Amino acid sequence: MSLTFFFRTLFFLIVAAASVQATWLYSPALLQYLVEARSSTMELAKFDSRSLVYRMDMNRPISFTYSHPVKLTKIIVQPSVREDLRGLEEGFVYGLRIRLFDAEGEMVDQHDKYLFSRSPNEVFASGDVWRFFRDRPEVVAGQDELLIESDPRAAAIEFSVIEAQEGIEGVELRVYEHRPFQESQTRSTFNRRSNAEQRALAQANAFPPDLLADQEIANLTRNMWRPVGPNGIEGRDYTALVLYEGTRLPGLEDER
Amino acid sequence: MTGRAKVILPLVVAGLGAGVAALAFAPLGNAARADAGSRETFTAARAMFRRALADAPDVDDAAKLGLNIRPSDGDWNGILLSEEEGDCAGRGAYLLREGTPFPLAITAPHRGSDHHTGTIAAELFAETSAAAAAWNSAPRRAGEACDAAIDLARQSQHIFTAFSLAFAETFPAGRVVQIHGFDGDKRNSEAARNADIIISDGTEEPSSKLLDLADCLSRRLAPRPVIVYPIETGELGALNNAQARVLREEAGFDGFVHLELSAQLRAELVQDDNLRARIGRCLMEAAQ
Repeated sequence: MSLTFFFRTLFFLIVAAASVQATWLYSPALLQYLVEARSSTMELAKFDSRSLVYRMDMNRPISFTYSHPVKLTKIIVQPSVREDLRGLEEGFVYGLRIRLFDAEGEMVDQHDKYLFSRSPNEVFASGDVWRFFRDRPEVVAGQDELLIESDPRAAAIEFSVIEAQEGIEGVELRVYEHRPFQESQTRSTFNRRSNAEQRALAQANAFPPDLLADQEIANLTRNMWRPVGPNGIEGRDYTALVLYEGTRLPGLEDER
Repeated sequence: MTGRAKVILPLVVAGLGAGVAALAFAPLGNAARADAGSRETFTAARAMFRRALADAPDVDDAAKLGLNIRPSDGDWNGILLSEEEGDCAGRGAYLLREGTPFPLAITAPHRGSDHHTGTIAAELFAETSAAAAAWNSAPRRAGEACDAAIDLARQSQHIFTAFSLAFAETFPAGRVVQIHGFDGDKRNSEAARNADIIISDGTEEPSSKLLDLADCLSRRLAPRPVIVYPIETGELGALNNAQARVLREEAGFDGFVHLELSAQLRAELVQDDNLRARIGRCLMEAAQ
């Protein structure tokens, strides 16, 4: 055996041992990566949620009547814009007039809200959630959430568009009334929800749902909302659209 | 429309719907036994229904399956296939419309136990141009009335499944709609508890066709919650539904629709023509 042959054999054995070690260490991770890559490709086509939204007529108001007089209303609102403006860097500005009425139809409060909405491309690039309509050409720009307080309690709410920047094709909203809250029923209200819903409600908490104290559960249960539908007839007084949400995953940005 | 006409017209429409239901529904109480079917029966029924849907049924072939053929006595042209009145073999009842109907089948495999679903299916059939309708003729659960009940949605070799398959083969771009009923109080998730309709196609990945129908129902029934399995709820997805599986595996059919209706919506649908018409329009659009 020559020295050269000895070193060659030794080098081969070292490389072989390193390969075995690397395979042992990294093959589970590699396998996991391949599995995740496959499932993430499938996930790209999946939707996370769908919601009914109501597109406002630019020239006349849309109104909603609550199921009971409320102090607090949650509004989720967004503009939809022309496809060719989806990358507009300066974003979009629009204004809403919100009027609240009591049970006798008397106006009890009015708010003018001017909102800035990021362009669809910016929302898509910076967030985890993307929103779209399956059956419409407009693209959805940045969404806003408004909380409107009313004192005295309001029986109805009305919205009108008072300003809409060029390129905004529609303004859509969802309206939620604050659910009546009974201190004595917080635990049963919480327990009536599925395990997944309890986990979702408690996700900001340090402890899992079964370890939450009564006060913590009361705080979670207090923040519950019920959707309200608009007055009138679909197609005549308002346009209902179905908004889809999907989770943005790596790879999707390139496809867009 | 005069005030009297406003009263009389709904009564006439309700009467016609009730007539279709009375024609088709043998009383569940006259039950004796229920037959889950065999491969031979399934094959014969599939061939018989294919001929019936394409042209005209063979009376002898239908008789061999225990089904009698009667002409419609409602305001639609077609035939009714059903077992002898008083027999509880559970072979089902089938309405086939003549002419050039929409490729839509409206079915209710659990009429009786899912309250109002049979009536809703019969009325939707009468009020739309659906090509066919079908429902169970024996109860889902055994009782004093019928000690050999059958759950059609779990029978892959039953005549009801053969009918669904023959329909899918005759109208490959059509829709087979199954109407069910659920009790919101028994559901686990808040979304399902509050829903009026839970729609699925019996898979974990709803097709684009199903989402089109779901979107139509959401818009037309707004603000009633119409939710899609599995996007908005993990319940009532019909993953074990026999007809969904057979249609998918044996015909590659993607037009199966599983509609779960809340008790409240079912009660309203049997009373409210306008509400029913809105669902009917969505089903017709989906089948176009």
